[in-house]
Parts: sequence; C-alpha cells; structure tokens
Amino acid sequence: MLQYIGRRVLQFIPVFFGVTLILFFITTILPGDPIKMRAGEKSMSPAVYQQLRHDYGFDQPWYKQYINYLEALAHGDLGTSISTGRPVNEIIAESYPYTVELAFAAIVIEIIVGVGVGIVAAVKRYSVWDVMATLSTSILVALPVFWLGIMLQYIFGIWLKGATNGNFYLPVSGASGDGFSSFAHLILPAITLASVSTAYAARIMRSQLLEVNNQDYIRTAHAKGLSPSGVLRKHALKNALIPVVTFIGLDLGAMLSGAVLTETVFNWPGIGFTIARAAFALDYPVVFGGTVIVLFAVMFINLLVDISYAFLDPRIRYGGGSAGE
Amino acid sequence: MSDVTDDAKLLSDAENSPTTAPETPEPLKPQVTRTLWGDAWYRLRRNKLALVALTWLLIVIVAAVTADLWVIPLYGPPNYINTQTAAADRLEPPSIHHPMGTDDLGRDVFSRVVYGARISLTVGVAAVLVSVVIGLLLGALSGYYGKFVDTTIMRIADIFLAFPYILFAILLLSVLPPSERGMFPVIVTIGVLGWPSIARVFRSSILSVKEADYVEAGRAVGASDARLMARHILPNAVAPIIVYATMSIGGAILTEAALSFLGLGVQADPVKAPNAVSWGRMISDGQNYLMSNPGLIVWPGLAILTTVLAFTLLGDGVRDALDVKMKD
Repeated sequence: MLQYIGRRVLQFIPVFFGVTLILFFITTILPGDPIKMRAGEKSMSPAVYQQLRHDYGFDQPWYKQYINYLEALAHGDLGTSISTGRPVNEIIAESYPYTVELAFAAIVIEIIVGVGVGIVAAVKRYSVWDVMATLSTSILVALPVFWLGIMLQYIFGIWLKGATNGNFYLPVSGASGDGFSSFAHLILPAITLASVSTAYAARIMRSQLLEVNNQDYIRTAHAKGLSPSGVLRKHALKNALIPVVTFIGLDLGAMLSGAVLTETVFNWPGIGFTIARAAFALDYPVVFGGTVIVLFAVMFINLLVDISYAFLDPRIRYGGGSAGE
Repeated sequence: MSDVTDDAKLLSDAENSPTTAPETPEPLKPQVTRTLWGDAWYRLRRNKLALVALTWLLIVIVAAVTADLWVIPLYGPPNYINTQTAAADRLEPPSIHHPMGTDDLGRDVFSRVVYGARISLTVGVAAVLVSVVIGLLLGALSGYYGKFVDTTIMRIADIFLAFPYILFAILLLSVLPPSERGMFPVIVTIGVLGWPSIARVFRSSILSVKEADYVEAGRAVGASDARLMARHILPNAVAPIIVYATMSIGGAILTEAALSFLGLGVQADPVKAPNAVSWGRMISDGQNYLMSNPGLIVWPGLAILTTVLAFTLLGDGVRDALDVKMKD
C-alpha cells in the first residue's frame, strides 16, 4: 500500500513540471504584456516601465524566471500580484475557503440527489420515474452551466420575490453574511455547480446497479430468501457504489480547482473567479500561484480517491497497483 | 435492445417465409448485402430519438446557411442598429415582426439567434476536427509503437487533463488583444484542449486491433507500418472515434458559449464579421435586462440546449448503430 502511494506521488512530479512549464511557455512566448496592461491607457515612462519589468523579473530569460519561481515556491512564496501589489499567498488564502465551501455544498447535493435518483431509476427500471430521470439527466448535461445559474437567479431571485410580494426569495449574488444568511447565499450557486455532475452521478449509479443486479451473487441472495430491500442494501449497493464513489471523488477534485462559470455568475469570490479575473488582467503571478495551488489540491484529492478505491475494492490491492492507469 | 429484435426479426422472416408459403417454392432471395456503414445507417434510421436529433440539426444548419436570404429581409441584420428607431423598438416582447422580441438596442432577437448558430456550429465542428487530427496522430503513435513513445505521449495527455480545462482556455485566449479574437483562436484553443481524450480512445482501440490475426497476417506478407495502419488498423479502430467526436461537438459548443459568455469568444467586427453573433455573448449581454426582458436570455439558452442535446442524442444513436461499447 505504501509503495503504491509512493508511486502515485512520484507520478505527480512530471505533471507538476509539465503544467508549470506550459504556463511559463504561454506567458513568455505568446503576446501580452502585464506591465503595459497595468499602466492601462495611461502612458508610462520607459524608465518606469523597465524598472517594473526588472522588479518582476520579466527582463530575464524564461528559464531563469522559471528557476526563480520554483525557488520561491519551495520557500512557500507565490510572489506579488501585478495589478494590486498584494502578496499572492494572501489573495489565495482569502478566496480559497469560498471555493472549498461551494465545492462541499455541491458534493452533498451530488451525493444525495445523484445517488438517490440513480437508485430509484434502477430499482424502478422502465417506470415513469426512470424515464423522467433519463430525460432530465440528458437535459442537465446539455445545459450551459452559466445559463442555468442565470435562470435560477431569475426564478428564485426575481420572479419569486415578485410573486410573494418580496417576502420570500433567495440571494442571487455574493457570499456575504453569516449564519442563515451565508447558507442562503450558498443554495443557488451550489445547485448550479452540482447540476452536471449530479446528472452524471445518477447515470453511473443507475447503470452500475443494473449491471450488478445481473450477477450470480445477487440471484443467490434472492434465492436464499433475502428481502428485495435487503439484497439492495447488503449486496447490490455495496458493489455498485464503488465506481460512483470514484466519480464523485474525482469530481470533488475538479470542483476544488474552482468553478469559473458558477463563481462568475454569482459573484462568488472563490479561486476560479480570482484566477479568471487575474488572467483577464494578465496578472501572471496570481494566475501561476492560483493554478499551482489548485493543482496540488486536485492531485491530493485524486490520490485520496485512488487509495480509497484500493481500500473499497480489495482486488486492486493485490493486483500490482495498476489502478491509476 | 430494439436493434437486436430487429435483426432477429429479419433473420426469422428470412427463415420463415418459405415455410409459410410452401406451395410457391420460390428460390430464397439473396439478402441485400450491406457494408458496415450501410448497416449502421439502417440501424440509425430505426432510432427515433436519433432521427429527431438529426432532423433538428439539419433544420438549424439549413437556417444558418440560408440566413442571408430570408432572415435579413424579414427580420433585419443581426447586428444592425437603427439609431432612428432603436429607442422606440428596444426590449419589445415577441410579436409577428419580432418572433422573439427585440434586445436593448432594438435588434431582432430571432435574427440574432439564427446567426448565432453559424458560430456555434462552425466552432463546434472545427474544434472537434482539430482534436481528432491531433488525437488520431498521437493516439496512433502511442498505441502502435508502445514503450517509450507511449509513455511520453500518455504523460503529456495526463498533463493536459490535470490542467483545469476552462482556466487553460481563458489563459490562452486572454493573452490575445481583443482585436485579434476571431473564430480561429477559439477553435484552436478548444481543439488543442480536447485531444487527450481522443488520443486515449484511439490508443485503446488500436491496442485491441493491433494483435488481431489479420494484422499479423498483413505483417507476415511484408506490409509496411504505414500500410498496416492505413488499410487494416485505422478502418477497424475508427468507429469509437466517430462516436466520441459526434458527442464532443456538443461539448465544444458549450465551451464556445462559455468563453463567449466570459467575453473571450468571437467578437462582432463591422468590417470583417458584420453578422457575427454568439449565443454565449447574447446571454451575457442579456443579464443586464433580466428584470425587464428575460427572453433575451431564454432564447439563446434554449438554442444552445437544443443543439447540444441533439448532438448528444445523435452520438448515442451512432454509438448504438455502430455497436461501440463505451464507458458511461
């Protein structure tokens, strides 16, 4: 097991260098000058321009910049934002909790609704419920996420407010307030972020359960007189859940890398929103720092998923550990 | 399921027909021979959902291609602002003259939705073609040569997959100044980001075909690598790619809409692209008028939804027709 974890961690190394090198490639080879961008419409004297380029190290060759960056990273320093002048560490520490909060809320929805719908659809196969589940998951997957977010804002923020004379509605923007207010702010963004993955989770749950139901051990369980719900709980679910757990785990990793669209629609001050805005402003230190942190988070979650996978399915532990491929 | 019963019926019909009519000992008619593709087309035509999807896509394509002929005379050009009447015409509800109402600048929403199909479909199809070309090439190298080549290419694929997709696209496109943001960079960006999945699908189907006896036989009689690839491996490994590509077009359209929504998509240009409209951009513009005219958001959203759904359903149909097994 330890050996397996070690190998997975080693696999992270080329990916890390690959991603950071691509980032450096994009920012040095492609056009786009962050210093000019910061100056905006104002003219900047050549001397100040050169000084700023020097301060941020942009006058050095790219490999030197890269090495400098890695060296600072090893000391836990992600650099300084160009557009605001604040330390990148601080900016990320401020925005990341919002992304984590949103991601976990969305995952809760995904587990409850996705797994629930998948089980119902499989147990009542070919029923009205099953058809409705298939139909709605197909539509959810084809929906533009940002459009769903705006429609939810309209229905629950504007229309509902008008229909109830302003007594009942959900907040459509920001993440302010504490206690119930902060929970209310979370509802619509979480539903929006969870929508597509919930549909996928339901589909996987359904198809896995149908597949497991054809297995011999399920027939045996029925034959020995176990009640249908007993078969479902004790035998079918246990086996059918493994791929679902994997999917949801990997999805959590993807969500922790920031939901640019959802966060933009709802003005949610998370990491995706922050990185996207920094990219628009060509604020490369924030983009780099954000992406590196996100990358670590995704890799860490994926590692946890692989380990839990090996834990849930004992066959993998003895199988030479090729599960990650 | 229905495919199986159809086939079974065909078989049993062929077997039963002589016994039900024994007095006319007609010689057994030779079955119409079909190619793999003829077979697939036959099965696709029996899939109602796929046919509805195909019909809808044809309607959208024909409408988008012929838009200059009927949309402009009837409803006006998509981006033209009549400064004389704009103030009076703005944010109108749907009517005969404006089937989907007008936007904040008095432009006809229906005209804009129809023209929006041009960018969505072009970007969707072209981006997937880019992914397929890169993916086929790298997937073939990876699957056919194995070993070091395989490891290298698959690690690069890992790197691309590890990168948060939409962030990567934003980063690539935001370094371009707005004046240079045409259709081409969007297509290349989406295409380049899509290759790893195609390469993986193709690699695994090559791996499963590579060891087949007929490939071995070809090699034994001295066929070159290139010939084996072109004549024996590619035709037998291409079905999953067609299925995957059809399904990916919907995803590419969604990504284009998202990038346009964020302001990184195709921009209208009075000279170069006077009729360029993007559904994603329409939704982002319409956000400001959510209170007064939600239709500005509803219509382009429905256009995206139906088009993407059609490609997904068509992809499902093609998968069943070609009998490709895929993970959910």
